[in-house]
Amino acid sequence: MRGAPEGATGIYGKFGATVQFQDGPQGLFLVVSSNGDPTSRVIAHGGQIALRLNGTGAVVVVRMTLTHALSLQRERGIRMVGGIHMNLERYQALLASVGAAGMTQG
Amino acid sequence: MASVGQELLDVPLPEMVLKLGLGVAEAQRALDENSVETAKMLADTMVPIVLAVTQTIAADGSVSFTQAPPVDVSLLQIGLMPTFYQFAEATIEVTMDIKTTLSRETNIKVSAKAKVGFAMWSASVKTDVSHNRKFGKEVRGTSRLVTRMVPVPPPARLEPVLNVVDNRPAPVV
Repeated sequence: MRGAPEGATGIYGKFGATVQFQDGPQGLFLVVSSNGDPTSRVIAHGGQIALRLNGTGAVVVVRMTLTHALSLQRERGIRMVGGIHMNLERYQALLASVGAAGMTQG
Repeated sequence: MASVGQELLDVPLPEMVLKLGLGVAEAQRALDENSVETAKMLADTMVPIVLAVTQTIAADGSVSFTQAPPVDVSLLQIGLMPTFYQFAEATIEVTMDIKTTLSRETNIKVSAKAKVGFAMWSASVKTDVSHNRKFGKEVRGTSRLVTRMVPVPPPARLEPVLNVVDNRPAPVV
């Protein structure tokens, strides 16, 4: 499955069977590259960069389907592709714990 | 010749169910490992975030902004959580197309021969009869395994629970 993205029609033979993935909705995935910026590979697999997380650009959050994430995972140089989601309750709890406040009038 | 019912009974359904179950279990383990690796990566990746920006409007109308010093927090602390997947459904479909044929063929070959000579004659009639019965059976089978995977909430206590104890004295009014 390495190479061009195949998407909903992605079919490849495995163990003598025909395996087909059906595209689901897009989600967020954490992508870690072991050899530099993975942007071109992410875009080649139908993904969009949502967030860059460190200076080297090797860790990015991308938006793509699970099918494309699985195909991206097989790319050489991609160390990890893992699904993530934002927990807003936890984010609010963090803001409250560090004392992040709204506007105050002096 | 085996009956159609026997052909259906010969489908290795228990073996197919076993292999599907083992495949699902192995895939589930790989998915869980991947989610745990993702959680570790989220916990190890620190990002500086500015949690507060103060906008001050002076008496003369000038506006200034001051931001709180950035705080290093992990992506897990911010609220980015690993997504866990679970196989919600697995279906096995077996379709068989069985065709049996029986044909009979009869061949009759008749030949006659006659000779006439010096005050003599002879004649013969030869008949060959052959019967052929042919049995044919054609079995075609296809199987389809369908699994459905859904995201599920991360297990409880994946992240440490944050408790804040505020020991400051209560403000005097």
